[in-house]
Amino acid sequence: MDYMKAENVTFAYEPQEDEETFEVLHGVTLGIKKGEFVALLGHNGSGKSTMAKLFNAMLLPSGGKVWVDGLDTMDENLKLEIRRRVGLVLQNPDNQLVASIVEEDVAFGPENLGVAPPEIRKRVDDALRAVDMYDYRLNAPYKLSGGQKQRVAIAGIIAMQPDCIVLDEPTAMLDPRGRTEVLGTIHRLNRENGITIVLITHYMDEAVGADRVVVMDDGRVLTEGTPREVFSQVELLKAHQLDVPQSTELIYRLKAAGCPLPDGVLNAEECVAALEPLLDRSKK
Amino acid sequence: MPVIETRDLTYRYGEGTPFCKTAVDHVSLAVEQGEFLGIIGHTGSGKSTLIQQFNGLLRPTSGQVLLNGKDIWAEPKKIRGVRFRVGMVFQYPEHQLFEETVIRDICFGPKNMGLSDGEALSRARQAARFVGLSADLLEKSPFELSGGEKRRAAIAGVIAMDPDVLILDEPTAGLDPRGRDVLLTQISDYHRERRNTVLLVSHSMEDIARVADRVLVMNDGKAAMLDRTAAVFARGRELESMGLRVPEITKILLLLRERGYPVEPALTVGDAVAELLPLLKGEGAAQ
Repeated sequence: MDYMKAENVTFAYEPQEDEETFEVLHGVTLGIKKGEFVALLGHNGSGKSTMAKLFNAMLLPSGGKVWVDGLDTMDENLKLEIRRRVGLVLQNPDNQLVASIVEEDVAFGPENLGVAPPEIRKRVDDALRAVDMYDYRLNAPYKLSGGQKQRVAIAGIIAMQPDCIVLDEPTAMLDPRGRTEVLGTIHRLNRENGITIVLITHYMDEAVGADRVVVMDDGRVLTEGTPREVFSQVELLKAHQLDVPQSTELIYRLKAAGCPLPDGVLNAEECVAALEPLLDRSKK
Repeated sequence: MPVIETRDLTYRYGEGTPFCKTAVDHVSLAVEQGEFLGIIGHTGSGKSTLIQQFNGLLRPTSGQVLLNGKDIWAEPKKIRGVRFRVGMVFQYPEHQLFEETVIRDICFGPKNMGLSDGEALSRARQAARFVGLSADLLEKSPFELSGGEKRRAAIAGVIAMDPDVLILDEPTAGLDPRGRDVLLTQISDYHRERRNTVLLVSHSMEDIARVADRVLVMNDGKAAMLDRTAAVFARGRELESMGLRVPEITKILLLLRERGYPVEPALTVGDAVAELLPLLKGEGAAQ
């Protein structure tokens, strides 16, 4: 059964002054299973971020329904229950940290939920350990690197013990090391704590590690499947000016030039493994 | 003669306090007139502190920055002129748009230089063309533009000053692949047409591989490498030890080379295809 479900969802932002209504989602049906790691890909303006906000009732659908753990997001009385289940992490960590000390920042969420102080202490420590930031608990957030800040933001969500975390381009502002740290953290939370992950990203190499990839284009789901299934459709993705991993593209172009190579190669290691036998054969 | 040269350039934050930190540590390098230099390094490696000294926003703790052979701090009162000749586009430059219309925002820089309204306007129009902003957008409020368009309007504002050196700090951050592609192409075209010097700071190794002639690697405040792009990315293991990566396509060829196949590290998928096809098809295998 799906943990989160969007059923034929349309969404339009409120028109400003004399402008016409601007519909950004044109009937999206999408299910996310409990414990799943789903990557959401698409251009700016494709409706990805709108989907993210619909899943924790920050936005409400103009048409259709969104359910979270069986709760209808349209029901005003359930809003808090839904936000407790689905946490949202945004692109810029500086916009999400509120306190002047790391552990106080992480405590902000559970305090607001009315959790008892001894329990808050435990949750904060656990959350900081889960993102590998426990040693920084007494530091000032502004002195941390981008990757560290983003991990503190994630800890703040974890302290509320959500079932699911939706992350909207959490690595867009980070350097390669910060990206690796944040991605490693997200994967570990998914694997070890069973937290459902919806990762919105522009980076194909981040999508490759997901259980399932959903590609959005112009307010609709263009295609979905395992990373291998999705990235095998090089022509479809290129036709919509979307990227594929460089490994996938290399194999695709070599195949087009007549080399007998397998489909759905996703990373450098797989690419080398696919090329080696062929290189050895032509050497002889 | 190099357009920018540094001699033993050192910058320390908080000198004389217990928090003193050396951000740029005895860097000596030369940027040649007309080249496209990529600058990489992890957060805190000193990239931003370095480039902010190139246009006099930060004054070196010791050492020199030379612009066309002259120390930019020889006459501190003339430092403003340096900022017109070395144009800086900061991260998320769209946050700095403020005028009523796009065209007036782009004119702000040239007018500050003391150009007449007519001259400023003609420069602004040309700059808008370089970044691909269509004429109908120029009379709109900058806040009506999309994120990508705002970014380009902000870049046009710096290009309109016609700097000898254009420095861009993470110009593609936060853009989607299509937006990244368009912007990089425009910057390359601008560089080719104007033949001036462009410095591009980026965390995207793929972007750097695509456009840069040479790459400067900053690590721990020092210039760890400065070489042709292919030569820098051929040192994949060293880059990884500095918290950096090489483009995925380069990694594939480096892995193949480690296993004894006669391939050169390529920077783009197109180059890699050209490198591998002859080998796969059996030609050139005799080498």
